[in-house]
Amino acid sequence: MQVKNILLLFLAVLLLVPVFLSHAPYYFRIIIMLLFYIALSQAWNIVGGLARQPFIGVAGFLGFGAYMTILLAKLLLLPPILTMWIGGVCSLALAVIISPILKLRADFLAIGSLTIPGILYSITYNSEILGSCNGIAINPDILYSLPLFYYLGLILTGVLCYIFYRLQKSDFGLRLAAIGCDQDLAEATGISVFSAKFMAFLLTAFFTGILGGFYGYLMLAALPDDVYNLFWGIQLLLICVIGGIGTVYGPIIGGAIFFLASHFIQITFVELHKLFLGIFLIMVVVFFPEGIIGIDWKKIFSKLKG
Amino acid sequence: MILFTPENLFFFLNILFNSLIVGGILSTVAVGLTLVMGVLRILNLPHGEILIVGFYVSYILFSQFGVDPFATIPLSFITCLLVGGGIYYLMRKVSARSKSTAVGTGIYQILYFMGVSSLIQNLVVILFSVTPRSINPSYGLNILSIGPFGVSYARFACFIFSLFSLIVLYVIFTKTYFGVAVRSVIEDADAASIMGANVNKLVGIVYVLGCALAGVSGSLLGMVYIFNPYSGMTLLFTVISVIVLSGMGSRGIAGTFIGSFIIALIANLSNTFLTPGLVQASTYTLLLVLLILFPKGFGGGRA
Repeated sequence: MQVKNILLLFLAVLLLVPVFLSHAPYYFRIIIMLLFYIALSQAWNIVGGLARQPFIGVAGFLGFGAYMTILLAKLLLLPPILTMWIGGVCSLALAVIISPILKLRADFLAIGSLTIPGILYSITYNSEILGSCNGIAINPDILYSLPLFYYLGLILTGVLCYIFYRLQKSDFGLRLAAIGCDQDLAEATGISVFSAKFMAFLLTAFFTGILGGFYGYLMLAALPDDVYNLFWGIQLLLICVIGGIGTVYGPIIGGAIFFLASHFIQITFVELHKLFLGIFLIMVVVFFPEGIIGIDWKKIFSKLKG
Repeated sequence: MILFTPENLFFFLNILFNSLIVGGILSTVAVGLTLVMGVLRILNLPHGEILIVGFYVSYILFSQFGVDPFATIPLSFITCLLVGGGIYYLMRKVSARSKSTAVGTGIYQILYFMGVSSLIQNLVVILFSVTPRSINPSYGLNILSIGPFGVSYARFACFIFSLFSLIVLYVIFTKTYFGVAVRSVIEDADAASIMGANVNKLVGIVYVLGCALAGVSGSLLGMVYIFNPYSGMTLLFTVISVIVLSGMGSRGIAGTFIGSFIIALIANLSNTFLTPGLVQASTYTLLLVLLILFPKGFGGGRA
């Protein structure tokens, strides 16, 4: 009963955030981006955290979704809020095409997945209809407002967290976790490894595409250097690892820590920003491989006490 | 469409000859990466970035102090040896930790490697900016003609140097005790340790040597290609294409050389016939297609 009340209160606070922040668009945008990052890393967490397939080329899906959303909105004059779902479907189609990549072992999957945003980037950069290096931009429509993005982001984050939570408990999620622990053993116990990975991959691709559309709509543009940046993959890795890879809370905690820290670093040391993230990733992997959740706090406290 | 007239035939023969030269240089990198992959059982993702470090060491010495590029090779060897040593030292901690957790897969090592690549790449960007650079010694543009073929002195010297290092590697790995021990570790690490090989020490030595070899190749390739801090990854893609095509280390140095030649030929042809913007896309697509077609290497070699 107590827990339920606290949750309801939390939900009410979340729903009322736009009322408090309507006069501070800067902070409002930060909160929206935070939700975006949490949702994105939760989507990646399905294939990367649960099935432990280091698919780092998420920028491919993100950028493809963003481009399709903006392109359709511009050509067919549809509202972007509709076309972002089509962007998700386009990412899904892309995922089906490149799914044979999932047969690779982990290290080759990591490198192979990086080729996808690379290829898409080069094609975009050299195509007139996609605006080459300037990307494509649209004008804001009537619906464009920060509260809309806030609620949209909140719904997407909520849905993704719920899906991940249910997945973890389900038979399918257990199969994915088994693949994540030992792929050969999982295959030997009769799990169809490829089809399970394929389904997880499709889920990740679909939601990443939608979130790409969300990002494109928020920015009102799709720029090749921005959306196809390989750096997205590293950011998502870092978020999931900080919070605890393969857990529901991981992306939420990691997203909050990472996003605020990265934002702070970005405005304080503009040029050193990416360098810090590299150091951060190494330190987290070396010293806290299981993330914040995995740290044995009791042990640390008892050590501090003496 | 281009017809096979005598002039065109000559042109194609020249492309073939140049691919042989570039392939020779590429195979040095590929052999280093295959060796490291053989002992580590995981792809060394920062290999391209280490190569770029070697390139920049040579570049700075050449452009600031006017040292001959070939004379800078020892220094880039030592620098990359130290960089590789640092990476390996921290990696030992990662693998020790990830064994203690429930997760047996090498995902933490991959994450660690991603962090290292990102760190080196951005460090290089901060130190040297993103301007593309190349090492152009004064004799670089002189053309050496061998029969009907023309090749610049720098390229030819690089080719000879990499052939020399390949032969040295071949001798080390077939004739010496160390080489036999390393090959036994690649074959079966557990059995090798039962037979008295110090596996951890050997893996460390091979890793560090592989990194140093990458640094040397970086100095050499700087005279052939133009590099910016981000080229490490594109080059890594090319080298991985070579490894996949030559069967993931199962065919030895000769197989790697043939694989490098084929990849260099494809790269040269795409450089000649595609618009410049799509050359990078063709490198990436080649790797993706090769990986999808041969997930376990060409001919299903052991990984």
